[in-house]
Amino acid sequence: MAEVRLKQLVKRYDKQEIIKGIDLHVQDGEFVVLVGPSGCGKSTTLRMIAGLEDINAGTIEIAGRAVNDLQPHLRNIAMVFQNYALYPHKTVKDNILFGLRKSKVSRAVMDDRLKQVATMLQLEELLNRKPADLSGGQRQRVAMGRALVRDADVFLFDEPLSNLDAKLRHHMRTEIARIHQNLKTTFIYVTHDQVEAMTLGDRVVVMWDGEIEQMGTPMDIYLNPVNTFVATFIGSPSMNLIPATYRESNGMIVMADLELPMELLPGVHTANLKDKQALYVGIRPDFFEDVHYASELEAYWKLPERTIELIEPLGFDKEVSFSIGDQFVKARLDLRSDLQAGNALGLAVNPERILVFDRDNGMRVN
Amino acid sequence: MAVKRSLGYKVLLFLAVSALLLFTLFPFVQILSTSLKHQVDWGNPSLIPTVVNFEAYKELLGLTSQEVELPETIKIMLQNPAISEEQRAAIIEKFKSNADIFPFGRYTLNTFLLSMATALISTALATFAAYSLARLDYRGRSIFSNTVMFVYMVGGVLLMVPLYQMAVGIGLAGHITGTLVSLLLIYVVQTLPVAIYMLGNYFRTIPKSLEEAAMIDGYSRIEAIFTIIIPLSRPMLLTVMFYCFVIAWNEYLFASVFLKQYHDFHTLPLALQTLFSSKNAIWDRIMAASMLTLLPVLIAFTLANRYIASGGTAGGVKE
Repeated sequence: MAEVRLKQLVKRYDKQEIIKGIDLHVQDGEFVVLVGPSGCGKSTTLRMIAGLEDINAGTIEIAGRAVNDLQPHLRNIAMVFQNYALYPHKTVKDNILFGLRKSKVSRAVMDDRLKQVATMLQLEELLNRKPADLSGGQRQRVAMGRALVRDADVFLFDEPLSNLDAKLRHHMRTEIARIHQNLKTTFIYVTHDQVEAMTLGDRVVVMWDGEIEQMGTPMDIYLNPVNTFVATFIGSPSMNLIPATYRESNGMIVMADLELPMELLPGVHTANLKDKQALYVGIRPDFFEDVHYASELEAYWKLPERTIELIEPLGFDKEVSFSIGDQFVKARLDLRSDLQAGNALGLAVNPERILVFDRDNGMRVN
Repeated sequence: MAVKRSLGYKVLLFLAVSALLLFTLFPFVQILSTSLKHQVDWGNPSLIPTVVNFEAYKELLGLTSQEVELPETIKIMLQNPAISEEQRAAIIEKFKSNADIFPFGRYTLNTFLLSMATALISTALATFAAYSLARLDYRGRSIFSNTVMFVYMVGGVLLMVPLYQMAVGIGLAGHITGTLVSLLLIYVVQTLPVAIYMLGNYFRTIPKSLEEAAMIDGYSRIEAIFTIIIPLSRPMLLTVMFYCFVIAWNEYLFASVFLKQYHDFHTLPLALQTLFSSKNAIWDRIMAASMLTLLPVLIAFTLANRYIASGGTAGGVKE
């Protein structure tokens, strides 16, 4: 168990900065998820913590000790690789015990830990098999076992579920959450899947282009994204961004034929807006409500009726698409709303859930 | 993927392959045939001996104890009254002496030890050189890599004289130990480029994450090489060892220069060459010796083939 601190961390390949001076403090026992699109530098950051990549500037501290120049094998970390990286010539048992053999723990402890991990990950039957004889999910569990059997200060996960099919991924996600609950050690987890980030992390760090865009609890990031990148990256389906203009004369935000009165938005101050400022209005599909089923509509912003262009049923939910001006907008409604394409649609939104962004720099306007 | 091929194509392919095989294998058939033929049969153009004769093999392997029969011509010559009794005895003695007979076992042992040493040293050095080229990033890596290949491009004939002069210059060629060391060095240097190339390419196929996993598991890079890379590369290491062994086993050029004066330390290719110009220059014996020289290589190849074919890294990483 240990805390991890990144201070002004920089990574360069040739002349290009891949990591542009990031600061991150992972508390002891915390589950932190680094999430971002591919190429954002999240895996590189993790590999720098592991010692698999050199650091060009800044420091990494594990348990209060600067580890910049420490080889990976001296950092007391455990890691699960995206491609599993199992030793093909060793049995499952030897794969799992490989690290413990090096750290010279006693036979009894080794057997004990092996048993514990094998039970936790349901590997008992597989201990004498070689990796080539395992299915993808089994290999993934062995890779997890190999990390979890160690008494490491920090556990690193590099997209461990990205090679699994959807069902197994869901199952393993729950497993990982449970394991962290039991072990309460420091987990740093990298993924490009925002669902994993949301469900697993105590704290989510959204990265883009070598920088941290935002960090906070999953709900904080979901409800209060600081810019359009975070707003659209987190959440599925992605947040609707509707081009709009502020009209100071009547205190309205104008979206094509719609007008949203500023007085409805408690979170946005008119002082922060200029007349004719180009904006985006951000509304998550989840926050649209069918006027027929919404309760307290008093304070809600009610949209003039729209025409449904497309319906994508998802079972309990359905995604309903319509237009505001030229912008295609999605709303997620539940199965009570029995609708067909071409029908008229009455929607309302809780104004607290309506976000406003500057269209030029993408930053949130409060 | 099964590709449907026309009959004409198949026939053509079969003929082409047969022609190629015939072309490459015919000399070996000729060697085998001649080695089994009796003296009287040498002129016979047929590949099948009229009488199968294992005498040459027995003799080379020291299995024969029977008296060497004097050839007819020698007997007639001996009847010449001009030859004194002493001379006659000397001639007979010379013909019956076993001392001068081709010491095949000794040459085989020489060659084997030299080839084995070359194979072991070359493979060991190549492992680390190839690893550094495949995995490590350091100043001068590409220069090193190119220089190694350059050595391979320079023919042995060009280097033979300067190398011998160098060996003489530093006093290595003056005694047998030094000579063997020089020869071993030359063989190692000759085999290293290809060995490094082969191993380097193989190492590059082993996913980096396997070593990274070992390093995370608490093993240093060197330990990771020994616990992960080397066990996984066993098929290729055997192939490389086999390659070095065969190169050294068949090497004639340098051996002929360096070992010329040390008869007891001749290697097989050199000994075979000497066989042509000795009183043992009998076709069946030369061919039998050639056949026996080929044999260890054939056996080694058959054994190695089993390991060479099998790949070791399946299943470790998700592709």
